[in-house]
Amino acid sequence: YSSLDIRTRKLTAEIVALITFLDSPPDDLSFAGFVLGDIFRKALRGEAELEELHQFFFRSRKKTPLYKAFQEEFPELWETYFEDLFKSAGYLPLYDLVNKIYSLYSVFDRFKEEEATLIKILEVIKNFEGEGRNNPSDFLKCATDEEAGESDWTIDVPVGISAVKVMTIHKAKGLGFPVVVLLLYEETTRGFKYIFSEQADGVHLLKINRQIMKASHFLEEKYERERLKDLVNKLNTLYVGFTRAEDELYILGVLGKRNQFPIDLLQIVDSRMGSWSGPRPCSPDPKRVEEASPQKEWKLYYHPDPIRFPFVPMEEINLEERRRGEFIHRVLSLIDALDENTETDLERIIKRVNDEWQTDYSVKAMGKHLLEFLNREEVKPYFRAVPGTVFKREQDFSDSRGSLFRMDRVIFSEARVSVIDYKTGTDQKAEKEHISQLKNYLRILREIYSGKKIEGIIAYVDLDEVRKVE
Amino acid sequence: MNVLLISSSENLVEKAAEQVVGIEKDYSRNLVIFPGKRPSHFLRKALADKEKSSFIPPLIFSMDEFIEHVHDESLGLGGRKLEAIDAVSILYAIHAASPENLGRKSFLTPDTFFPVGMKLYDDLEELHIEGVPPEKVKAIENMAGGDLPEPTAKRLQSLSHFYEAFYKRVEEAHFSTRSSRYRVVSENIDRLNLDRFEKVILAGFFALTESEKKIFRSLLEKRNTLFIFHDGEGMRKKLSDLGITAVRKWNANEPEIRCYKSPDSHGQVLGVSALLKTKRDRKERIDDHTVIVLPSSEILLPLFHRALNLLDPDNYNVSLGYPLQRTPLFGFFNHLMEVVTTMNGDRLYVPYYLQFVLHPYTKNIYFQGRADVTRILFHAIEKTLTEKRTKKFLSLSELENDEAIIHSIKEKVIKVEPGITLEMMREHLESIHTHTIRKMLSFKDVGEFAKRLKEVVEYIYQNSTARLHPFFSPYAESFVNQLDILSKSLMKEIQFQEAGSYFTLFKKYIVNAYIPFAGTPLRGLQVLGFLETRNLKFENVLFLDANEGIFPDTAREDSFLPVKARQMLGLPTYLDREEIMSYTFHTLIGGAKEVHLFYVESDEKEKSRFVEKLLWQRQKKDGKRDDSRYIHTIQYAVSLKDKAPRPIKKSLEMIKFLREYPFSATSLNTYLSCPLQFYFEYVLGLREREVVSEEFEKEEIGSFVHLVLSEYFRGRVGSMLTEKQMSLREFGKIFHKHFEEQYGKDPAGEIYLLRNQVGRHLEDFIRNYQLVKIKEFRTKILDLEREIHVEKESFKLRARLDRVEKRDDRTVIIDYKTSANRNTLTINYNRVDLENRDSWCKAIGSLQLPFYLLAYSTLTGEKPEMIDCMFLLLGRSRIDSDIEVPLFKNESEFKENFGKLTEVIFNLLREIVSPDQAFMPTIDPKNHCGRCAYGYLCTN
Repeated sequence: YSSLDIRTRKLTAEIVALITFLDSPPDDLSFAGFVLGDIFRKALRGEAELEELHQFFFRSRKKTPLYKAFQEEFPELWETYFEDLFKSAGYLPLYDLVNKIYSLYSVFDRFKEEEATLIKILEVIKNFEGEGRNNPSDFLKCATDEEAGESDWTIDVPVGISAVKVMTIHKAKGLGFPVVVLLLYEETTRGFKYIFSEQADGVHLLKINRQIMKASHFLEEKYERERLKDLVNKLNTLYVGFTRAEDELYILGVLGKRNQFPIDLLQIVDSRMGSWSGPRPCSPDPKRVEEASPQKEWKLYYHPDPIRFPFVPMEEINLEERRRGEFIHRVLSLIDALDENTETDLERIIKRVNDEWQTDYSVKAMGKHLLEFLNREEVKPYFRAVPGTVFKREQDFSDSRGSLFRMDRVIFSEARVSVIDYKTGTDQKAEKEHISQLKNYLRILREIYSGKKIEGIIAYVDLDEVRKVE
Repeated sequence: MNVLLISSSENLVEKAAEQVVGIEKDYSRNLVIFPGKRPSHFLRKALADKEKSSFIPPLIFSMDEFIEHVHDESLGLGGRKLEAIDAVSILYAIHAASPENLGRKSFLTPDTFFPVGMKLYDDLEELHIEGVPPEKVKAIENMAGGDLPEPTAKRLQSLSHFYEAFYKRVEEAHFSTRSSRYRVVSENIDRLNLDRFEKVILAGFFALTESEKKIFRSLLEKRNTLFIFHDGEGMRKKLSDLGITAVRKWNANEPEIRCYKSPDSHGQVLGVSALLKTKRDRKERIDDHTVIVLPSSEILLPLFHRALNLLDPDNYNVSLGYPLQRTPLFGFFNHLMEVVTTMNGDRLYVPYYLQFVLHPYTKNIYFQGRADVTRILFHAIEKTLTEKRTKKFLSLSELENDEAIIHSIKEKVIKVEPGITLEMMREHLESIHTHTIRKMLSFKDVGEFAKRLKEVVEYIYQNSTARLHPFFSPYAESFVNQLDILSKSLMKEIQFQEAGSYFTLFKKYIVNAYIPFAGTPLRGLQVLGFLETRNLKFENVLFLDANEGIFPDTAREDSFLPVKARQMLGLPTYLDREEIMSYTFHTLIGGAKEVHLFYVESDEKEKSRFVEKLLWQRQKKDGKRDDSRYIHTIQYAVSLKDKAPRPIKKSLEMIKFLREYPFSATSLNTYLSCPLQFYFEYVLGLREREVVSEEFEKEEIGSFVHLVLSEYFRGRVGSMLTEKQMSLREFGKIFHKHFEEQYGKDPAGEIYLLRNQVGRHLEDFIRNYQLVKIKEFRTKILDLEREIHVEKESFKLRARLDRVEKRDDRTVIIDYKTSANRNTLTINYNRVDLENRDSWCKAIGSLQLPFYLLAYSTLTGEKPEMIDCMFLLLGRSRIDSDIEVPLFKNESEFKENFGKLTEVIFNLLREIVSPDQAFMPTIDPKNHCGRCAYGYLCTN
């Protein structure tokens, strides 16, 4: 790995060890690896010394899983530093889990010099989640996969800042610098993974090495052509390296054992250049120095508290029940007033809503159920057409903060405004909440229709119950 | 004229609020239409501020809602509103019935057609909303004057066929799509009566489709309509398209713009965090006058964890779509899919089975209200399956009844959890299998597949700890909704041959799905997607990911229609999209006081063209060539320092333990290469955990080869080997019997190759090595897999010898190696200097053979000089006598070196138990530390 690859950092290994343990608690090595590491020990406030921890692991070497022994011997440490993580590993996505680890162990505070590594870990996980994978074991597999793209794990250094840039020739393509120091090592040819050969009968991938090529002229020719192509590529690369400097170019060749490319070439260049005159540095361009403005560094802030999400976990997802509720609301919203045609109207409306919503509620059963509801003595008055009475269905109201409330049915008469809120399902656990919601409706109506009497009812459609709220 | 053009610094929503007419807190005789949904919240807020009381709000629609309302209620058209998947289903039917179908033999199944269908649907909808007649699409080839390449022309031909056939079917079936609704409404707009409204306001529109233009032209004629436009780049051209000439001009508002370049996404978020902190410290308000704009949702979780954690959850509101693909539930489905799609008959591929049951959601399914029991259960199963990890395939019933698994459950669960019986655990295991894997083994059609997958989500929701995470509910609900749509879609009756195809379709379908993080509007700081900011005004704008590729999203140009064809057909191109983005961006920042633009600058990413333009304008104004003065750089502290490993002193208990320790050749080799590694591995007993891997581990192949060879030679122990006995047929039988036991009957892919390769190699071993040796020496096998425990010089030694035999009068100890590399096994005797401790590690590849020789001669009393030791390299490509790697090449090498090696072994053992000698780090880190499992531990 490159030295900018965060997998070479001890801190990364410790975090990976902790994730591994949380994902697989019987993994004793990962548990011990984390407990003996810097993150855990820096978090301790003198509760245990390193020596003591080594002794503990020695004494417990036959006890597996080790975390259980640790839990028994250091119950307070376990409770403070592991218990919560251990429990939440069952449901926290990886990114959340790692952030929780960071907060618990205050890593940004305690490892300021490793800021880039710590951030890169989060960045890798974020990108990893983008691939649709976000459980710890998938991540761990990727973290230990040596073939996984190194660039994914390499610390991103800011571009454009005033600092010496270190890069490969390949990365320097298209760029120019006032001064270039080119460091060249002898290249060893490892042969070719395969050689591409296009023939009349199709495409062949040939595996040819120096030994195999001796077997036929055809293979030898193929191999030689490939070698030549490779050499041209190398020369092109070298050309790029030689032509990046604007003012000064220094080439340092490290002599190897075999005097091979490109060192052999450098020697030829050197001999043709004649005597060695040492570097001739170019005088700095005063304008350039003047123009360069100081970098505006921005001080980052790491808030110590973990996030508190603005969502409350729901008790259950019962889509069917919710959909049925919405269906009933929609049907009732299409009923204006009761008359002798209500039964047939109901059937027509149910058919229509079924059609709109791609549902298949029984027209008969649903119709009967809703008719019974509408014919209840406590409900009827709110659906009876009386001169001077106006019904508003699914009527929008806004409170004094601009929040929107859609009331199921509001009945306006000369002296009174009534609101009905339909509730479906058989669960009455949320009754308190229903009452509070209706009281809010009443408050809104009172603000708007201050001279009128305001009343409200909660109609439990499936429970055959009606509750009046004043 | 009923048109109002306001400057970009004005607040569009407030302007609309000024225009609506309210009588006694009743605004219901006003209809307000905005392009999107969000401004409605702000309009109500503005009216609430005006009324300072509750009120009846105007009827507020987004344009889509307005069209739906007119379509359904005013025109009374109704009918089924097609989801994209329904449309793809219709397109697939057209495709399957078409003689010259798109892509010829490709995309013949619904799952392969799906992404093509989605793209096609998008194009058709664009053509339809823009009112392009099918003949025009057909004629496009001629219009292009033969400039279009043949494949493009053919694609267009099929497109016109789809275009015509698709909307014909939609109409016949009384369905509607978004575009068809716009088209119908635009064609019937003159029938629309809006007289019941005192005022109809259309506010904040910019780019219009042909259908919208028709609607607008008609509404412009009505007496009660008012159009409010927000001035900005390109607006005047848009107005002139509608026949409106704008006269008034404003001086552009110049907000304070600050740019921040960051090396990655997190830098931007931490920059936001720093800004919020500064505001908080200065006691400045952080409320709904501040917006954090996220053009890409992937930065949302970093923002939650690293910036929004400063705020109370009641003080911010997040409203944007988050891709379902990024959620843990999607990962869970992937694992479930892998289990099902890699099955061989009724047998599951063990690595994928373990991956699934060890997924946090599965292993935390409650058993009597406890999640830990299931965790222990599955880790016990994992341990057992790891022990017999060469067995790669097992059926669910084999798993549920496996003796070793049952034993492991007894040990790990039943013994430690009083009250839990084996029967309970088996039932629990079966129940988990039934509700997850078994449920997904076969389906009648897409509808049933979706229904069952929905049941799996509900099962996990109800029965595991997953829902303790606050986001799990919205994730699960979105999945269930999507599956519900799928199960009711026109695609529901489609059947596939393979179970995998259902999953493939599902994955392709879900890739386009988003969770609507709807939030509670108007609550504190607003976190919005870019388009959500349309028509809104904020004092402080914090804009993230202002990068090319994201803003504008250049990758989204995904159409069957090339730019040229789009231009000819009058469809919007990427230039129009860019224009809309530019307009929205400039009206957003034009209304602000403070703008903070964050972007990533790295080898792969560059700042957005919009930022570039702003900077250039500033540079021109200031007369500066250098833009860095306007840009803040976000960078991190980088440390590349490494700590050196630290020696570890031995305690008295450790020494006591080591004195009693039965040393093996492997432990000694470990000590030789790195004493610290020895400490962690053998003293603390910390070992890397073995796992069942998808790939064949070297050790796994090694164990199998050892097993087969040992079985083959077992019946020949004690007797002289003859050529006749070396039956390849018998060998083949033994090989295949064991292979079948471990890897199954009809291997495919990698396992098939492994079987052939290992089988052929071992046959070569019998033929080209064993037979040759029998001819050369009278050979009698003495022992196979021999365990040895001896004591010498007060040290306990143990060894396991693969094979011991007599070749003529000499005893030969053989150790099989499945590798081909002799370098790591040989000893360079010239370099072993007894006086120089460091030379041992460098010169000795392995102490295994001298150790075996010492142990065996101690056990049997045979003289070491009468014993030969060798490795046989079975991994070499050519098998012949060269596979032997003898400990000593000849007698003189033995004489010169055996004593030396014995000395090395005992010196090392004495060193290990010496209290004065700490466990030191290796002297050769280059070769030993690269893959060391203890690499991060030894520096503590």
